[in-house]
Amino acid sequence: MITCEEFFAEFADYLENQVSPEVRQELELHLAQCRACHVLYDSSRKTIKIVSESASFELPQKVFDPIIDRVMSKLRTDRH
Amino acid sequence: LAVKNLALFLALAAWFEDHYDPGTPSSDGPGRRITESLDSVDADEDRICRPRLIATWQENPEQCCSRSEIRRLVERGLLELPAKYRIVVMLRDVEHLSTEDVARQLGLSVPAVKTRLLRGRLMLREWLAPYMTIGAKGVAS
Repeated sequence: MITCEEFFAEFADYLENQVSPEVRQELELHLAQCRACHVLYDSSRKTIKIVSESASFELPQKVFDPIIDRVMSKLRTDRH
Repeated sequence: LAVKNLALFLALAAWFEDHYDPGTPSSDGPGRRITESLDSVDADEDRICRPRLIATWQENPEQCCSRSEIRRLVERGLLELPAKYRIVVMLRDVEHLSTEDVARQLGLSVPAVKTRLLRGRLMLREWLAPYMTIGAKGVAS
């Protein structure tokens, strides 16, 4: 079985569903036998779901467009 | 870049403050946000962010908190994140941009975005954990 460190090395891609079937099988075998990694994976997945579903608040465009423009133009000039 | 919500606005505005108001007097008081450059070298990014609380989360977060409480928790959690992690989490998980698009918008490499995204998500996980575990008492008023 892979170690926790090996599991964690693939963790970001696993959360994004971007691992090969072979790697997925190894990771799932590890999860079935390691409670700490299982809790980490389960709670991370739920965190992403909670954040994706909770944080969306529409504001009138005219309220913040000028500020966003300022920030984005600063971002652009900062790179030059 | 389509910017349509308050949360993203707050993320960008906070990032702007962090980077373009260096004259603000510093404070060592609790709750001070850690300011880090969006382009800084991530010396500690390989450090594993292990869960401090090894407890199973509720299947449904609303078993712990109301929908509005969860929303407030998420907002507060996002604002607690260092700016360089917050903006990546906001663009990926709130705005649902692809990792490649986030990298393009911020002028970062895809691996850098992936690393920051993971760290930001794990920090948010730590923030939410006390409220989401089975047996948690919910949000204190």
